Amino acid sequence: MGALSFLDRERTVAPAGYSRWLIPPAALAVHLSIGQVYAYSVFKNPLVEHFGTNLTPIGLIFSLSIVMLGLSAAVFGTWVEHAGPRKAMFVAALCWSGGFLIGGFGVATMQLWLVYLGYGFLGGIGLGIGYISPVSTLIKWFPDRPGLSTGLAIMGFGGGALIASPLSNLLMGVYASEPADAVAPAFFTLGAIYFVSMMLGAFTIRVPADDWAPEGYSPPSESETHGMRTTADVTASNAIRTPQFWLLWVVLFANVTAGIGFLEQASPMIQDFFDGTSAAAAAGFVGLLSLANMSGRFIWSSTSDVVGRKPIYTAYLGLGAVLYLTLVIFGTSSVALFVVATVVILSFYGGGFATVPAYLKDLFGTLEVGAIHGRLLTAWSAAGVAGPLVVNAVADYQKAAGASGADLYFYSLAIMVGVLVVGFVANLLIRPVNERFHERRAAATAHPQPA
Amino acid sequence: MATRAQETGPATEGAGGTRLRALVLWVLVVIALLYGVVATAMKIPALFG
Repeated sequence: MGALSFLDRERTVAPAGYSRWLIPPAALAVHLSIGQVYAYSVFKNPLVEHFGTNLTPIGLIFSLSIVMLGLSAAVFGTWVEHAGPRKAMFVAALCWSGGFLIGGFGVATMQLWLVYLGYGFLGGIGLGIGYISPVSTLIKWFPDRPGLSTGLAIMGFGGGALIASPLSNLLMGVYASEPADAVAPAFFTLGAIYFVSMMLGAFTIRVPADDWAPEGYSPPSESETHGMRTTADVTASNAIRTPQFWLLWVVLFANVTAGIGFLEQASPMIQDFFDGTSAAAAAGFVGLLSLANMSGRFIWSSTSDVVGRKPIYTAYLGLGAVLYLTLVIFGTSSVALFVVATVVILSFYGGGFATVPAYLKDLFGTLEVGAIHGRLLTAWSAAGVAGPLVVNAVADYQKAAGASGADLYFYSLAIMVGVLVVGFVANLLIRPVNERFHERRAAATAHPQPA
Repeated sequence: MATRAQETGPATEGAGGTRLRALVLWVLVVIALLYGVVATAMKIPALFG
């Protein structure tokens, strides 16, 4: 990476007087770009038609990109932490837009394996590096409001899908009369747009100087927060040896499994729960859930700065389990009840994603919080497979047994209640990290806490 | 909210260009987000129709 030394962390240190409110748009530019992955479904049917195949091999491209997201975040997390956000965003932009380029070439030449390699594999690496690249920087700029800052960025990931979905449909409509013939140019165009957007982010991001702190800020003492906001630092390699890391892994896994399993089946589910629900109404329901998912990331994560990370996860998981149980018992009784319960559930799903970097900062300090976050995101990959698998498998099993309508989902919703209860208990078990995992102060002074 | 940074080590890149880029980027990301939110919100009335 010697040729990329102009992107080094040292070159991006903000000078005196630089406003920290100029940092979030750089993070948003990256997250709004990579959030496109959640709008991949708009390409599914055109790709099925273009390649003359069925949904399974096309759906696998999305799964591969999500698995690569988790793996690359885990593998490259430490590198991202040391290389700095500008270099990481630069590499993420190359991978993500390069993924579109190779994928588009694969579509144009009828080579499906190139779509796997491009969008799925390379693009997935761009997702993982891009997702974690601004997190630790934001936390260092906003030590007094880590939930707000990471919530703002990770809200962008939810917002990215809201932008990409209509934009992709617009592009396909412009390029050809049949969507199947327009996927390749749409991929090329999106790749170019995201490259520019992410490069703008990369060349706008700045890191604070080591001894910088917001004026008048002093970190709360550990006694004030009952030890739940540490002033010490734990390295990524030590963090994964702590029970706190794995308890939080279970917490994130539970929260994501419950949310993603529902999100993936939201449209058919409301139509099965309520006879006569039109496709347009179901699309409106999915749109409402997407907004809840996006806004929950900012609202709940910001709220966690006030109420604390552990209490807010208690709400995500405990109240979430109660809401899922409500759907099991009363779900078919009222459309309004169904919609309100699911909107809150999906806002908690988004909130869980956005609050976790701040939770990690509270437990492990800021030294390698980005790298620790990267390792934790393997829970997302696992949940991305488990959630839809449970819902689809149970629905298929029920259908084979002669069930129909809402009966297709009762068992999977009940399973989600159990998953959330497991996460709830795991969260309750989280205690401050044992001091033996803390970096010695001499090491910590190389990466000091804000004064 | 106080946001003034303390005097620290030398920056190797001027702040002026980055400030302008950041402000332009704020405008662009807000417009992009509004586009996505409005396009999505327009589907919602069908749910209650």
